[in-house]
Amino acid sequence: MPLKEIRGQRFLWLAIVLMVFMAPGLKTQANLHGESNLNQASTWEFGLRFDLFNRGTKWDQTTSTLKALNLMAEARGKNLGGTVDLNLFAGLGSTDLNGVVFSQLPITLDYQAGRITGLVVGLGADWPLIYASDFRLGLTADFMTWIGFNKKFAIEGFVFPGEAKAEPDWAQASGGIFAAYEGYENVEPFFDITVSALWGTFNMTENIQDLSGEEEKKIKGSGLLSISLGCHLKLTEKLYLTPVARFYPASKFGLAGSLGLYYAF
Amino acid sequence: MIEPEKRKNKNRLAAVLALLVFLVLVLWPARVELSAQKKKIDKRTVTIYDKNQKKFTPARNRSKLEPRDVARLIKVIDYIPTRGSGEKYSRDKVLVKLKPELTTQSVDHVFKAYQAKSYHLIPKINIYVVRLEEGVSVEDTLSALQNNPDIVYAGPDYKLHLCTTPNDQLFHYQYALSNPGGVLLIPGSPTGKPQADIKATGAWDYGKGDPNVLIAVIDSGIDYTHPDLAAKVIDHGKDFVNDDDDAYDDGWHGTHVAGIIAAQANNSEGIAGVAWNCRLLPVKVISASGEGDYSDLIDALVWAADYTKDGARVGVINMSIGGTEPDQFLEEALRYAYNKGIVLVAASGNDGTQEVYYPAAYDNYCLAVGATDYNDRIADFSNYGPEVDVAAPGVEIISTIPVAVTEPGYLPYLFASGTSMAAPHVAGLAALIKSAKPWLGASDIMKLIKYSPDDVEATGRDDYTGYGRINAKRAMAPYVLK
Repeated sequence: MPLKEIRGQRFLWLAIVLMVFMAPGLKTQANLHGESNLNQASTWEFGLRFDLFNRGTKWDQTTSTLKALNLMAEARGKNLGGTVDLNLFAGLGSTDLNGVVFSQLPITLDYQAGRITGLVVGLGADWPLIYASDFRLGLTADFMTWIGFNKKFAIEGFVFPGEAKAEPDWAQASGGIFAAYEGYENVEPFFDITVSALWGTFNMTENIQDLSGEEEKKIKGSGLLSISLGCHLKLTEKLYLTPVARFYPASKFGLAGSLGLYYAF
Repeated sequence: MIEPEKRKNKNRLAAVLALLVFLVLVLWPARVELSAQKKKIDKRTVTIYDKNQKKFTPARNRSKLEPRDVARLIKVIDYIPTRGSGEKYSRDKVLVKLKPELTTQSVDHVFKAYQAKSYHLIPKINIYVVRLEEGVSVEDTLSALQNNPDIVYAGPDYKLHLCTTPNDQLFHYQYALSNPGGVLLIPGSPTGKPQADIKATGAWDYGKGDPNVLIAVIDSGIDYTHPDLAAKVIDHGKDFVNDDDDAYDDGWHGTHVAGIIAAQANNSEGIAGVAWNCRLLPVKVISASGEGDYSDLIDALVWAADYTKDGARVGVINMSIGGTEPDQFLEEALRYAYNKGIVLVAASGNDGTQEVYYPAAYDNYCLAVGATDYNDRIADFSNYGPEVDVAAPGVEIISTIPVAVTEPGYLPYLFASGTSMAAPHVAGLAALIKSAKPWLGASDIMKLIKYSPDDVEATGRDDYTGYGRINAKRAMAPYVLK
């Protein structure tokens, strides 16, 4: 898939995510919830989040597993406009794409070099629709993209020393419903069920003297449905901890987890 | 946390729950479907240009192979190895080493948790071979196993396969393809250096050629009735000497060259060609008397470049012929074929002098090939110069000869030496690459062949072997980035 198209897809997802929880949110939420929530002040929390990511992927006719580790700074806005919880994050991540074979190049390259570091950015939002008893239910959506830094490798054993350059990236977008329980004082457990798509590209170029080639592999996540379980733990008046586990049932052992520590202002 | 909301919201709660149930019902079958999809020579034989007569003339030197030797060989070579599915590892098994303190019951629990269908222990080294349920992904299982603290190591069950070696009776005479070293089964029984060969068996693991990739042999013709060639020759070709459509070899040289390139492999008889599955197009420009004209070669180049039949087209042209004179018309014909994406390969000549023959010397369009021996030494007859690109074995090379010229009691094969015998090894490799990667142009294939050899002479490029003796495996095999 051309890079342009990938980027187009990302913008589309971003637009969908934003539209889902921003545009209709303000009015509906206000109607449902009366003025009580609007009267609550918006708050911001800042912190660090660590993500572990393990998900089945497909490229060409082959399956493999994408493994990622991300460390990000995150800002969480609560009750923004009385309607929406928004989180923005950015940081560094490393992704392991071992097993991808670039057979269209003059010299076929089999990538087994492990992790590549890159930049992670994304945003997410929860849009509560219903408050019933101690439960809060609504829509959730998030988008994350990882852009790998170029990694160069020496190609040895040929008449001239060669070089290969790897440039991977991927993005993941999820949208679905969530439920949170607000009945406890210091803990708010929650779960969500989302449709989660992962797509990306792995671009490889090789050069040996004047022999060169470039190949791009399309990578797709193998499961669509994901289920997350987590909780917001209030450690002190200002300090919050949020562990989350995510499962991809269609990907058998596809799983992800995150741990975030936040300070509220 | 937020206060509970009014009763009217309970209806909304019911609606969301209904939506949730709906989503599960819709998405669950999709998950099940996805799961189901998962289951799833100083003996000179090169044709030379006679300046006085302005003709091509192939010299000849024949040695005979006695049937007795063949009978002995049949007993030695008795299997047909295969590459198998091409998978790197088994799709339904993993290998696991558990911590030694685990009880048998614990082991059973661990493996059941990972959907093991069955397992058995390799004693002494405490490694389990775990067979997975159908549809369970090896990659996912390994990812999960590697996170289990009870597991020391878990890895895939890699595929083991024999190097692709054909079962042809005379394959062990073909040191050029796979040199075992020691005393070689060739005339004079010289001692060879192990692996002084083109690594053909290693290359065949990654591709054996495409029948729709043709190698045009511009030479004295081909005996298309030869048992080791009959199935490999696309048609009777073109005879530019007699101006007809029957390029039968009334000498022996072209048939010998053709056999090196693409003799039928793995047919339990004769030899194996380098381009195992590719086919041959005979083009005759050398007469029965061993002479030829530049005009016929020029005509032949253009004809071969345009040849197509049932989806097959020429990808490589081998010219184990040459003359000492440059010629702009010849160069133009070479350019024509090259611009059509055809890889042109030619012998450097057999005078042992610093004079690379034409067309080999046309460096922009043609790979010029020198000859090495069974010890990776340059053959003393091999012409040299800056135009030489690569080298290949060309000393005592066994190949096919026309049945009609075979003496009674002998097999239609002979040993011959020359850069004529070296060039077809390179042409065969070019055809394998063209088959595996048809999108590559002639220029890229030429570079790949030039940049992947073993440096067997002076360090770096030299005028004798060019960039070195070709290494077909290096040119064909994936390079692992680590």
